[in-house]
Amino acid sequence: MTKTAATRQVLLEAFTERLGADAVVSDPGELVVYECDGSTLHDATPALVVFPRGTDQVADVVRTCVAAGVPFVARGAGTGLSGGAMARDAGVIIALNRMHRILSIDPLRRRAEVEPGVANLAVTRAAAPHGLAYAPDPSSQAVCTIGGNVAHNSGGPHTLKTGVTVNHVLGLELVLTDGSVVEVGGPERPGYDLLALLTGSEGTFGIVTRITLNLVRRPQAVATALAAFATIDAASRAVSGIIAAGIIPAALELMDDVVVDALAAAFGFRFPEGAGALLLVEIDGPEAGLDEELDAVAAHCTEHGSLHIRLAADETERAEIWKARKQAFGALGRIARNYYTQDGVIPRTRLPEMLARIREIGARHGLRVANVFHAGDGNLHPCILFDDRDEAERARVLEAGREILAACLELGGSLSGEHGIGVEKREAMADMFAPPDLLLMRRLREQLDPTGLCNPGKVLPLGARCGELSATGRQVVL
Amino acid sequence: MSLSRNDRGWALDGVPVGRTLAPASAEEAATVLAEARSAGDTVVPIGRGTRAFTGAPAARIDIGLLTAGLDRVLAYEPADLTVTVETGVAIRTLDLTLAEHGQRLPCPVRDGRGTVGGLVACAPDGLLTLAHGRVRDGVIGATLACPDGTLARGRGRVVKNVAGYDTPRLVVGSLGTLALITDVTFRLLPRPAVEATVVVPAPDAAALAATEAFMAAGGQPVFADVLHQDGSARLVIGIEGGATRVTGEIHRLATLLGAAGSAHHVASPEEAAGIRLGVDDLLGTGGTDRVALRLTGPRAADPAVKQALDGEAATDGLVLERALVRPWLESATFVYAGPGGPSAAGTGRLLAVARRHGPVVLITAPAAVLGAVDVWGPPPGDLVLMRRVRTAFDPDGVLASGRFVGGLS
Ligand SMILES: Cc1cc2nc3c(=O)[nH]c(=O)nc-3n(C[C@H](O)[C@H](O)[C@H](O)COP(=O)(O)OP(=O)(O)OC[C@H]3O[C@@H](n4cnc5c(N)ncnc54)[C@H](O)[C@@H]3O)c2cc1C
Repeated sequence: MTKTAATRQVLLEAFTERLGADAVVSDPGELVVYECDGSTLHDATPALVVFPRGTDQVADVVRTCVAAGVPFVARGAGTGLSGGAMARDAGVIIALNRMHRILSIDPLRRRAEVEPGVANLAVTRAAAPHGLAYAPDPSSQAVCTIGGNVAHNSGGPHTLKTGVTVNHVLGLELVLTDGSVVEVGGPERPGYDLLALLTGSEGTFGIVTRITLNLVRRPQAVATALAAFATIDAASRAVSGIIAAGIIPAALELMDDVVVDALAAAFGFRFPEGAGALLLVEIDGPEAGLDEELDAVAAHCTEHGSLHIRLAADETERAEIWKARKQAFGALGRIARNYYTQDGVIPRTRLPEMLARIREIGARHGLRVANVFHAGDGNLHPCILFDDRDEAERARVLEAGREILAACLELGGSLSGEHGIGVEKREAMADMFAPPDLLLMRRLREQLDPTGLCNPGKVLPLGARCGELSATGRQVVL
Repeated sequence: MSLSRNDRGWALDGVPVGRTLAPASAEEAATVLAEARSAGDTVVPIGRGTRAFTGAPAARIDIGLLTAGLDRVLAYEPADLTVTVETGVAIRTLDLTLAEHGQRLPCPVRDGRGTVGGLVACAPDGLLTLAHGRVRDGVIGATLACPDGTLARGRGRVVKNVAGYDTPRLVVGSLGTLALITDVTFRLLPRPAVEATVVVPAPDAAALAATEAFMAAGGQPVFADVLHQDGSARLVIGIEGGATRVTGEIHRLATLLGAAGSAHHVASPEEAAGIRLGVDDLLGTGGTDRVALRLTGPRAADPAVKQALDGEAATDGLVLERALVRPWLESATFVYAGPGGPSAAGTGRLLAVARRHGPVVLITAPAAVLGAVDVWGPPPGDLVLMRRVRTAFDPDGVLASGRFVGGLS
């Protein structure tokens, strides 16, 4: 037996004894399921997958891994899109799916205490009877977990106004890499804002085992409109106009002609004649004044040449309008064998320019690119359509993706608005940040995970691009 | 902090400042830190010294690093609703610039004498926290001068961004103990067309319940606080937005308050301005001849707690000068004053009583008192992580040694 195989055997026996046989997956056939997350472009087979049932078991697993020198990584629903939950170097996956309880809902203080494996939507469902909701609503909310949301600081169509995950986490429990358990706490408590550091740290500082979430009250009134435009250019100018006028919609989502065509072809949606782009606008708040705001939104759309504006008269019509947005990815799946979703951000005024660049990049590589994205905060999701059986095309897709991100950075934007860096954009971090910026991040990583075993190989660029040596002069594997 | 200057130079909370330096650029600031590090000197960043949030007195201050020279607005994109500004800029100056385009910070400060750096380093609760979040929620990027002499940028200038660790938000509220913040990028908000304030004099539980009912039904006040001043209390509720919205919301709130039997009125412009300034002033409260403390948590707004504190303060010859109780934010700030000022022993007792009810920070007190009592309270459970964070930024303890939670150094 090789050393790795021997170590794996020792871990398997230890986990089986302490967590029970039904809490450990070791069969190669079953391990395949855990090779990748929602982004199939990266994969690696884990040594083992374990399903702890509580904080103590998580801490035990972490200590055992560290003692054996084996890397470990937390996993929620595996819907991440940057390869974050993937176990590199034959590591152990700590799957939190069995820790999925809602521990308490406090309607008076408007907060919920949950385990990390609970699905995002389950929290809102549990809060609904109290007239409350959990605000961040990633499109994957039916399955993605709160633990994953915290790790990625996830957003959603409605986070433009209410804020993303970091604005709604009030406290958490964290298993550190030495197996100790720390309560990280409330934003009102004196001290460094560790919640801000931990939210979005992609599971590289420890395993989150409990989370206290802020719940929001439901707005008194909601208005939803779907405006059709001839071109994505016109629609994106309307977006810039709405934002510059100081209107902050609850959601502002944009879809281009490829999506419009796909929705029509796949699901028989019918849109106004000549529609080459759709802008979904939702505003909410107190009833008084909502009509005025809606009129202002409509005026901006008209000014930028909208062909038609459809207003939802009731909940059924609102659901219909959202259906187009929600089924957009499904429709793309029908017209292409595969698609690769990029995630980049640009200043909102640069939307028209950026969309032109995306078109140009796609054309140059002979690729079709669809755009369906959170326009209100400049968060783009270009989807490059391709066929993964075509090796050459696959390579062109990755190259086009890189060029799109480079264009985002050139326009003063960011590598990621919500999907994270993971393994996918690790090396591109050196394009967005200068060596001192990365060095500080690396020092934080070394301090918070001195073992270097907690989700290694994610977020920060490897080796030379991040400065060979750590601040302590010790070579660390990240 | 209490900053004073006499013929022997500057002093911060009674600790003499060896010498002051005023770098003209971020690069110079980083160099000052690196040189201090190799010389074994300690540094405390100083804005304009107007912000109250104190921290414990530093063990020793060799260099006061004045940010006055970092005074440029680096980028202002009104159509993107973002601004990048150096931290020595006065808040009032920034506010005037933003006002020209009908915009403001999400965490505005009425009394704009302080600097942007002070706002970010101290991160006081703001007037509009209920509606628009804390200072950290408005910060989307920053440049940090670190004690190793480098300038490290975090995040960027776009409103949505998850690339890399969020170092900008981490340093918000760190009181200059991690790095010198040289510039900050904020997301901005439009200024509302109309600002109104509803006042309930002598609020009782029924008035608070009516306000809660208003919010439960989708009312969205920008603040809802109980302000104690001049021996009386007022429940003050801020409503902002377009004219139709404000009129409609005031009507809705007034109906609920009326049904609860709570007398109320819409503040005149003068009264409203006074209230808004009063709230702000308390949040960044100053003065060294009085004691101010902030209690957080679910018991902060409990009238019994205030009563207990008033009683304890009286034993030190102090009476409540002002207080701001924020039931919907679970925080309360109390300011006590008296002819002889607070004593160290009396302040210690007052803190002990308050700490029975939740986390308490001593915001301001005379220097002699500050040095003698526990400003921050028992160290939080995550101090172990805070220590490691501090080590990552400042392994040799160059910055503001000993001033922060748990005596971090
Ligand atoms: C169809 C689809 C739509 C999507 N829409 C959106 C969207 O609108 N907005 C958005 O932001 N994202 C979206 N995503 C991306 C993804 O759903 C989110 O990133 C989500 O938060 C991941 O949650 P998960 O439970 O699947 O995490 P996983 O993929 O299992 O893990 C993601 C990362 O979190 C870490 N992690 C998980 N749990 C823990 C824990 N308890 N402690 C520490 N680290 C942990 C993992 O190690 C990994 O690095 C979408 C994905 C898909 C497939």
